[in-house]
Amino acid sequence: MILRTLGGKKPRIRALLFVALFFAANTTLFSFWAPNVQAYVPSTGENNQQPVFWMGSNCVYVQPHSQGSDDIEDGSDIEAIQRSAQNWQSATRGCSFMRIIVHGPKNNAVPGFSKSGSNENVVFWHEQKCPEEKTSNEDEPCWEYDLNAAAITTVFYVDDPKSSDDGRILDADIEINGASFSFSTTGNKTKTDVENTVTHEMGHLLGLDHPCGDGARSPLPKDHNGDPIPSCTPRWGLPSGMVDTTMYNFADLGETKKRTPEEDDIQGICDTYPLAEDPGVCVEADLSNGGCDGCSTNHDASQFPSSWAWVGTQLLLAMLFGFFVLPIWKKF
Amino acid sequence: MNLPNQGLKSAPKSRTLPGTSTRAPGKARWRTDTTRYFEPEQRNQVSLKTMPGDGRGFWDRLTDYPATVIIRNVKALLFVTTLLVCVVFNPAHATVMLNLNLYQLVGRSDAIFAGKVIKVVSRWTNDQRRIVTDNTFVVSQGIYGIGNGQTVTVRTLGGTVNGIGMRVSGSPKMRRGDQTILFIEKRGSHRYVVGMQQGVFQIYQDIAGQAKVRRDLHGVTFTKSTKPRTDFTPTLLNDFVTQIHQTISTCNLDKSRCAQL
Repeated sequence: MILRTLGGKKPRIRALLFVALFFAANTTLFSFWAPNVQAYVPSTGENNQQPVFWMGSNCVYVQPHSQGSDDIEDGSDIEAIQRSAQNWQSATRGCSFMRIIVHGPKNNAVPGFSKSGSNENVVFWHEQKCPEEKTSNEDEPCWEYDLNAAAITTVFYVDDPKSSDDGRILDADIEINGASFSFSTTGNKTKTDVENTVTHEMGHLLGLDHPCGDGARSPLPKDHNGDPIPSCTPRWGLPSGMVDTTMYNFADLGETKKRTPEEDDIQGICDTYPLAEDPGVCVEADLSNGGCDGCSTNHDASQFPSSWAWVGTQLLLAMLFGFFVLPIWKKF
Repeated sequence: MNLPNQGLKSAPKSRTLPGTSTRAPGKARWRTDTTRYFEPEQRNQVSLKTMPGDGRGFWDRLTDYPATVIIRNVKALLFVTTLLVCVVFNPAHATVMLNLNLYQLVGRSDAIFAGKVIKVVSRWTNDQRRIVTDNTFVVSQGIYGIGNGQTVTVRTLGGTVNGIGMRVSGSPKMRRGDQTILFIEKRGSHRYVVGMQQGVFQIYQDIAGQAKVRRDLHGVTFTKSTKPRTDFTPTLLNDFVTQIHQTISTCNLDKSRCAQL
């Protein structure tokens, strides 16, 4: 029946049905492929390119500043931060000990690192950019980063190959550019979604990096298998599961799909903080906490299919359609 | 004189369909050396698996078609596939960083130059709460706002001091000896790269020994309604410098085109 329809005399309908059939076959094929896509990219230190992660605690405390975003008046911005933490915990509960605990908001939380005092992992909206004459020791916080950056996560860690704490994260702050960007918690298509953004940034806070690279970098970052990460372009050449991950580099305004960690993201957290190596304590990080002997990562996930394999399969599929389906259209 | 079909890309082609040949019956014919097809009276003899219609098998029917027809269909299919891929997998916009095109990079820059990193020093900021890295360049080719041979220090976020590292995704990282084209702006008392990694183009030699530029955007997450310029492919250095000069001229004439956030 379908073939008879395809072979009908209305070329537009025939063309549309062909495209639909081709897409269905394509989707079916890659639905089998996508679940095998398991790779993540750990954040690494500057000097020895070793992964950085939290040690000696089965939790990370996050401290939102009470002012939140001035685009959101109903307090849902703080709730969105809490949901972002819950999203990670819900997704990784079965295989990871790590939890993100969001404190109640307070008004004296300050981003940055203190070498002597305690450090808080702050979520902070900057609502004004720094004046030209701003000096770095002024008290009033302002967005002193690039104006085109909507959010930045700064991670402080031990970068000393001789230390048993090498790679240990000490502090991580999420700073959000409210001076240049508008935020929403409702998935508004013209604004940046708080939960989507903060869930992504919390991935950085936990020690995950973006899964693909745009352009050339020397040395090219590597995924957890030790393989160079694929280029983000062409996007259609990426494994299909990658673009849906929370740590994927790109997102639309109003996008909400990064709110939910995907398989690769979960694998990253569960390999880095596996249940079997739960330190059993939940403490704030500082340099005096000591190391963690059992915090090495487990890597047994499969590799990405290469972009060229994907392209090749697309061409093969198109050829198969051309040889076996089109002649039938013509004839029937 | 205008003919009715003159606007067509190609005039309709006449073609001989299977079964309409005027050749002598009973003589097998070969087209384009690859696809063999038979005259009507031969078809019943080669039927393998019957189907409703004319009693012939699928594979027999397939061989009825000359290779040119199939190849033409494959071309159409590849076109449709490409179209489909472009539509379905169109790159999205981004959340964490606004994408800058070359006009916007130029519009934000106080200086543009090609240079070589001669010194990299990381240190704590005055308030001791962040680590920054000061990268000193010798300008080998001043393109805008700076002259050849000058030295300039560009600040980047992150670095390592006395065993403590600070890492910021998307912040450019320089190494001594790196050769780059930089787009820089002054913020406060320091110079920074425009658009974080977006304002850094690495200079390198290709296999043929030609100087080229390329860009690394790993770590940057884009936002806003413009498509990310992730399609910057390695380009000859001289061509890129020429392109920058042209963009500067355009920006001088039409400042709105290089407008900022």
